[in-house]
Amino acid sequence: MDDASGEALLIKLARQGDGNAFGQLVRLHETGIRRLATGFLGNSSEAEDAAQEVFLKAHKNLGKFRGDSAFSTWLHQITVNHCKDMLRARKRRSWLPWNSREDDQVPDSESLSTLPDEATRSTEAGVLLKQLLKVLPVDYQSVLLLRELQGLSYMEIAKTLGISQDAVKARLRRARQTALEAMRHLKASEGV
Amino acid sequence: MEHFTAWNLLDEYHDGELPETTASLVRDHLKACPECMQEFAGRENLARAIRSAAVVQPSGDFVRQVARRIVESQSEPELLRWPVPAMAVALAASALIMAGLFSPAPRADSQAGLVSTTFEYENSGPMPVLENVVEIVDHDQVLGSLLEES
Repeated sequence: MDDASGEALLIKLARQGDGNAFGQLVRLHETGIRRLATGFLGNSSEAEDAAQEVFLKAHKNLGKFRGDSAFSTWLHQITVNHCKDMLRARKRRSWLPWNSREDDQVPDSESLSTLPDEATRSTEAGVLLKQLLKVLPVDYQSVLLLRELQGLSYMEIAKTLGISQDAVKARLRRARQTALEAMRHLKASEGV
Repeated sequence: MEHFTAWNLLDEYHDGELPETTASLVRDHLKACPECMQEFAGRENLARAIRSAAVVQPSGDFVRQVARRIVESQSEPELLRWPVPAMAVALAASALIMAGLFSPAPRADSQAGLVSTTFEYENSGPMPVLENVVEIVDHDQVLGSLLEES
């Protein structure tokens, strides 16, 4: 039995209420979904919560999955929509005067230097990513993350987001131009 | 390949979306064009930065956490999952109760939790028949019973 038919069987069993089958589906896709949520949200605990919520929604709506696209495409759609909602909510919260704006806090160079190398690299990359994503509209973030994190083709991204391949191409180009410009600015400001 | 053509294909080349013959032409151009090479390197760096920022550690607990949330959501009353409709129901119930309690000049004769209402007419005095009996209802109880029914 190949992967696709194995997954189709798991979906069928999960629809019939087989919890173990759904657990296997979660195991198959959890890394990708957690990674995508981390890309969107930056904060790993928020991303963990978001990924759990994605599978909760998938479980609740399993009956609506028609199988027209791959199961992973469907999960990506749920993840993108959920993360967009979270980002909008975060933006709304940032307007509140009593909000501590923890998301905006960037570790200083002293605290970074006390971390182990691996963690430092990952934290620095995380800070960089947060800065880059801040300058990108969420629709640009979506195409960039689906491409670079999930390795999806233009066709798969188009299916996931419900847009044309030309729109994917245009958004990717614009997203990269904006992000690269921001990277240059960040590097220039670090050099000062 | 022309510089302008190669420049415009850098994204598709980076993303592996070009047919091999075109990709090979872009590759050859990159070797000879520092400007395009720099632009291409920028895309590679950006991709690396994004990937290294979103590395996730294996989680032995994830499936169990998802299972716990599914069980919790299934034991949760439906209305609690939808705070806005729940509030709307509560408000509607409150409004109905308030309308019942404060409708035209009620005269209450409280007795064992019951209110008898009479409706007075401007010139004809109180209506003789006290048919409208409204039970005093606790708002929380209304919502509670709605939640139980759901």
